[in-house]
Amino acid sequence: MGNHQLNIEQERYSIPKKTKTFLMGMILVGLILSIIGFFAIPRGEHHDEKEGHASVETHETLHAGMQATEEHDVEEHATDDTEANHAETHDEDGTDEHATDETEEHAAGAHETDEIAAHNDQQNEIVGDVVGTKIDCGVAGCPDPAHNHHAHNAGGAHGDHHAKPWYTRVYTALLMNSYYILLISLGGLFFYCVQYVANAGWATALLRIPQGMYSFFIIPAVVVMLVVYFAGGDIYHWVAYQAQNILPGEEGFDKILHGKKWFLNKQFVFGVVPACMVIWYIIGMRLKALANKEDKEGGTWSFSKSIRSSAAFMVLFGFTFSFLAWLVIMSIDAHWFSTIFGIYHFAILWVSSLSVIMLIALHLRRNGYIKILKDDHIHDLAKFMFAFSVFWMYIWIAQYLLIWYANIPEESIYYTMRQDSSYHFFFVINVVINFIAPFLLFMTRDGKRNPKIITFVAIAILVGHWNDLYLSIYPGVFNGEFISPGLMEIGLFLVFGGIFVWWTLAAIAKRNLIAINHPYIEESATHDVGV
Amino acid sequence: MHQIDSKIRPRLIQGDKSITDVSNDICRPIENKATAAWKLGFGISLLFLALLGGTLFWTTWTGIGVWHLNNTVMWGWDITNFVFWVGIGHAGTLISAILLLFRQKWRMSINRSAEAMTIFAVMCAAVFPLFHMGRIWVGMYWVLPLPNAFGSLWVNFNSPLLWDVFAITTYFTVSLLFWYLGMIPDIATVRDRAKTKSRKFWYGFFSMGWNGSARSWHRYEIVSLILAGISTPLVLSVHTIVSMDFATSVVPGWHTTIFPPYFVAGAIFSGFGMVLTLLVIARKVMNYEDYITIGHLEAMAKVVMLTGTLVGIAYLTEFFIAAYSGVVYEQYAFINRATGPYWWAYATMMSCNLLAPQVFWFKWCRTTPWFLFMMSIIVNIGMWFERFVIIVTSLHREYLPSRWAMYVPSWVEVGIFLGTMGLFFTCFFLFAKFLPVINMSEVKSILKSRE
Repeated sequence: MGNHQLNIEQERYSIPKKTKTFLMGMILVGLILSIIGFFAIPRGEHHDEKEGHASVETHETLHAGMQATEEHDVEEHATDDTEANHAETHDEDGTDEHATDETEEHAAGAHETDEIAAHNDQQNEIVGDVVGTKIDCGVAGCPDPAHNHHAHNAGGAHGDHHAKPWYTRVYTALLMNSYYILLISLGGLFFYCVQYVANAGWATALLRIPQGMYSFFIIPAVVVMLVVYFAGGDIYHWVAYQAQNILPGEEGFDKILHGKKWFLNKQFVFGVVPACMVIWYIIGMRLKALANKEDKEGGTWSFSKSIRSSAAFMVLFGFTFSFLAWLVIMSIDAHWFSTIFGIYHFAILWVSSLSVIMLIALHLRRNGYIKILKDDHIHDLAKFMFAFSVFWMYIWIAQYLLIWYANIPEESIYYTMRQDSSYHFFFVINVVINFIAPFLLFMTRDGKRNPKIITFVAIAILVGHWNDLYLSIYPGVFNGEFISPGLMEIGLFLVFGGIFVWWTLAAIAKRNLIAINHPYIEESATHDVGV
Repeated sequence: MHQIDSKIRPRLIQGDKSITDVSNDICRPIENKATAAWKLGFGISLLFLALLGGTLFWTTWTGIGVWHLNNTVMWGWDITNFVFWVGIGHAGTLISAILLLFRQKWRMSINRSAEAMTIFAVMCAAVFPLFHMGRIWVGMYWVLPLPNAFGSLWVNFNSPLLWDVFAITTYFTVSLLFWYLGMIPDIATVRDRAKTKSRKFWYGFFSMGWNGSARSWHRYEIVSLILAGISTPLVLSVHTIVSMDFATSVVPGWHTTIFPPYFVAGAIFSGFGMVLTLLVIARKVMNYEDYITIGHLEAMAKVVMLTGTLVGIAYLTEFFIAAYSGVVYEQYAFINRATGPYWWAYATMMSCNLLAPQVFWFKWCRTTPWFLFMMSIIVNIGMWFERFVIIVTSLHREYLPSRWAMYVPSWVEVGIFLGTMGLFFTCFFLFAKFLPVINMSEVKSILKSRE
């Protein structure tokens, strides 16, 4: 250290008026959009017509030029729906046949909701029957869905997918957005702990940002749990199925769902998941207390204690995060499974969190805070965003390629529902926004140091992973039926996002902005990335 | 402003070394006569290398039937050893490339030997698929996708086995370049200090006219950074594709989406195990304890613990998802792994890879060299068994019980494996004698890191 005299001053942040107005506006607009969206959801009575129109409107904007096919499709859909509603209980086979016929009829127009439904039924049959006839299905081709009565029954709870109540949409939008904010906010804690565990110095100037972020996470955590509790069978097929209490041999028995009872049950969902969240939160609070103590007393005691707590968090997080992803998201597609799923959601968590940290860091710097924060820190954060966009892509490819290559029906259905369906557009832009945009824009050194480009990429990543979660959740909840993201989804995203950012900024404003007694603060202040 | 290192960070190089001390210490093995210990070790390695030659000759002469592979277990020790050696290579690239990108300066004392290890390990790995082809002389045209005179006979581009050929050869080439490029300034140092004619000639030849000008250094650093940038995705791709050799199939126990990241974590784990094995010994024998300090060993122990735990999480995830999936074949594959005739392999794998590294939560375990050496051996054994478990126990129970079989290696297979050990250590002994084991020029740059 010698003769270097570093003057690092303590700073206090207060949320600028402009920012408050902006966030207030964001929340208000979000609220208005959600309310409009809420009333625009087709209700039960007028289910058929309204749903048709709503889906066409949004659809059109996305697939201009496919109008004709679409409208035709909607009419078909409507009749089909009516039939399903009236004749469901005693004429399931009939409905099914209808769907299958339609598939043949419109083989050219691949973007059909009913086609997907048919696909999906077919899949359910395959899955339902897999234990007995896996080899038949895989090698000799699957039996015709319309004529396979037993298999159709195996679909169980899925037979009634046209009858999802209208408010399912509300639950799903809530689940998606609260889960997303939960991930981002939890990512703050992960970032904080990584710095300690890796003994890293460079990010010390930034540490209060992730700390502000994770102070919020208990709120989306509660919302997620409430949605899971109240939505129950509307979102999760397995909940609806278990409520029916079908015994082996009875009509509608589903071997697979039955076999998953030991894991997919209320005790696990409402025992394990909240328990994990509480433990994460407690460690987060402990780390915050240690940081406060360090601010007051100095010394390295808090530092070494923080390392221990961080290590404890990393281990617990590593072993428990998957439970969150499995129980809350993967179990939506209850028949489906993928070992990499937890890591995939971790990738979403990490890269979106980094983007939020980046945006807040830029905001603080723009307003003259954290004087020791230099281009070099921003550059390094941008490198992280770059690296973990690539990481996300890697994990995405690992899952997609292996499932595509092996082409086992009960696994590939997941992508059939997302890729060969009306979700196709979102499926493609998912990769474009989340990988190609950051990859190209952050390739150069200048790109990683230019606030405008960085802001663009960060927002792209945040929107991109919102879309990513949309693809994870919606096709599963609505059995492949195309539900375009509407005003409510966007509105709730703005509401949750606005509250989250406000809360984070308020938490940052409450405390000293600089971890001035941190043993690595000088390293961070003199951080230099070189070339 | 000059970058400041925190006071609480220990010095990376101990013992108050001056720049001259570094040159003297690191050139010593090159400039002095070989020690008795070196001669002994080298001699033993040569014996094993001869064993490799003998067993490979026998395999080629008699045919692949001298291995105990059968129709059910068509991959055995050969592919186990192949994956084992490829995995070991990963630590070198991780240390030299990824830690360079992360600006981790502790890498500077160990990257040279770790990279050398990478290259030798990939060479050992290559032996297995090459000789598994049986008639190796016709292999060249299967492996290289060249248009040929045999009509429309092309390699199968859909096959991960072919991707593997590309991935590994690219990886080998880039690693070799990276290693050699990093060594040029040090070879020039040896050249400048040389007192014999032949040394002056050879080191002069291989230093490619390095003159140490600012421009040379500038280019050196830029090229290092670019090569590090290329190596990073490469190292991930190599074991990813190795994992796809298995995971793209529909064999229960192989087809699982977590394989790519899990194989990469396992590779880094095994690689660090091998780096520890080599360096704990080398620092003692060559008197490099001030360069490869306890701090370095501790950092490596932490990486071992981290990656070991990641691999452990992957094992548990696989097991869990197999149970959860409801696919009876998957469930059986995993139950069979844990309780079937090869349960001992599974138990070894679990205890060596997941449980054993947890001792590194204790500082004593991370900082005691003899204990670290022991642990590194355990890690090596554990990772070998991991591959054995994945390959053999997944294969030996086919869909049809009439095809069930057991697999025990023949003496030839064991001989080839021991022989590759010989190849590996022969190369490493030569490296330790004739090349600077530690990156002198980089280490010199961090001597006074805390002034």
